[in-house]
Amino acid sequence: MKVAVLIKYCPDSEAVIEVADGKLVTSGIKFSVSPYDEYASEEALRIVEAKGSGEVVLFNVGPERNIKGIKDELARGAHRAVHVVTDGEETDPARVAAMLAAAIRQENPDIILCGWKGIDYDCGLTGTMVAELLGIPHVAIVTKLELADGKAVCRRQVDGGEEIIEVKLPAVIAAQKGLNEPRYPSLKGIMAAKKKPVKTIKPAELGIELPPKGAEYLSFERPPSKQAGKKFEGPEAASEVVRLLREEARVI
Amino acid sequence: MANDILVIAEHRGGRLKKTTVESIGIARKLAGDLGGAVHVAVLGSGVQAAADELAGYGVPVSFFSDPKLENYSYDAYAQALVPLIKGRDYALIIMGATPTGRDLSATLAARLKAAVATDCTGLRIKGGKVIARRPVIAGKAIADMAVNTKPAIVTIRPNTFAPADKTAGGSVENVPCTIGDLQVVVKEVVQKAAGRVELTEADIVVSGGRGLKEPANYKLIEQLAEAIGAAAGASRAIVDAGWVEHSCQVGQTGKTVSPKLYIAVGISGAIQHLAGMSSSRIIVAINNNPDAPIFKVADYGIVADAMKTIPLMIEEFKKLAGS
Repeated sequence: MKVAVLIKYCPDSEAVIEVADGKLVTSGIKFSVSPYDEYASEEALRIVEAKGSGEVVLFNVGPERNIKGIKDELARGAHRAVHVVTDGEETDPARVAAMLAAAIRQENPDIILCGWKGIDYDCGLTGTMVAELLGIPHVAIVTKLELADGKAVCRRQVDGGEEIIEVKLPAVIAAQKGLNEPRYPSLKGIMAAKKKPVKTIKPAELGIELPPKGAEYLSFERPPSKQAGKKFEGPEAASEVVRLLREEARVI
Repeated sequence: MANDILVIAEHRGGRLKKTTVESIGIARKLAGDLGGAVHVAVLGSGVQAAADELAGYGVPVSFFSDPKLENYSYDAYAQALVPLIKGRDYALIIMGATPTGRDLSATLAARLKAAVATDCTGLRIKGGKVIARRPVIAGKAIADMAVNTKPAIVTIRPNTFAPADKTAGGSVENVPCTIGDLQVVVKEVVQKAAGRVELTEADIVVSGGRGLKEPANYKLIEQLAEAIGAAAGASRAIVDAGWVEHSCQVGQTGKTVSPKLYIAVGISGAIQHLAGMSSSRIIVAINNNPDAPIFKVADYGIVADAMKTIPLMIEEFKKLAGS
């Protein structure tokens, strides 16, 4: 079984983000593979391990620096990777999806896994768009996945509950936290990752025409900073705080 | 007609979600700037009552009724909606940034070759174009994004926009639809904790963290939540430790909430947690460590043992409720 995993390389969740001249400052900060993609990658490894055969192929669209994230995931066990190397960061999900879909077509995987959103731009669109471009089903925010008889049965998290969804393979399954517990890379895995093949492709070599920029970031700013308010000591302050919530803040 | 806005309603078993009424509210504000009208679509099996309720907001409502629409699936919804949207040439489509809204908006975007601004906290029209304001990198920055396509699709963050007022002038029309084979089979819909307030839509959220010391003490959070009609949330630390399930997690890899009141109990305020709740209107923090980062964003902080403070707070809330 060939399992494709779409990964994104994002500012680490602990990174402090600065904004200068209306732009995000991402130089000098730590990047990591988006945590949701790690659940996808782990699930892919488990699928191949359970079958006893097959391979996990990573796909990434982004600038050259992303090779570090690709290597991190190869170290966890994926077999090889396809990196569509863009000049800068492409932030329009439709354009990223077009490139991913074109790269995936050349590999013809049996199932495609990804994180349900990247923790950078929080869109949660790319996986679905890839599926729609490939004309295959998709299930997002998945916390449990079972494969049998060419079908996937997914547990999907929704407001106030869950849905159990069945789709035919190939399909795109977008992982939510809870799907599994990702493994840490072993030293052996880190060494092995150095020799694993990473195919690099330029967008122009994909043989597609990219859609025009539909979603376009104009500018960024820092969020309004919240000021520390009144501070009390001791449990008995509860009554004063409740009074202030009613009389000063007027929220209860 | 080419400048009209379509709001796609969300409901569970005919019960409308708050985010739908908020969508109508912002749509009505934008309609003037776009020079168009607001329409609403609602889909389901036997949703006439929900359609009538929506018409109470003074808008024309198109409803689709089909057994294949009984449970939400992106494929059935998109098969019904795409012809309507193409036929009426909408300029803007608005829905809630809920799991359903996110799933549907992505599908519609792909099928309509439209762009989406997800989880918006502000929307305006500039030169006939939709400009969305949305937090990125878990709220560490706020972006202005132009949505350059027609239609433009946006999903709005629940609890952020003012809900529409009820007014006269609404109408209801049944739109026939043909839904073919579906890509997905919804085998089961599991409703958990029916009747409980959804975390992302709650006016008040009470969350607990590691300061509660042990799993059994989380029931204090639930009791406090119950005393003030709040939803109960949790920090990543206690979700990862298995005390409560992930659907309760507030933060970067959990839910983003913007209630009018957020009470953080025994939560230190790691950057990932702040990402999920710092847009709350009023924040109360209870923590025994005076240097906990949560106090930097708290409007009211209590440096004290959470286990001693919560019972007193519950008493105070009960007194208020009784007064």
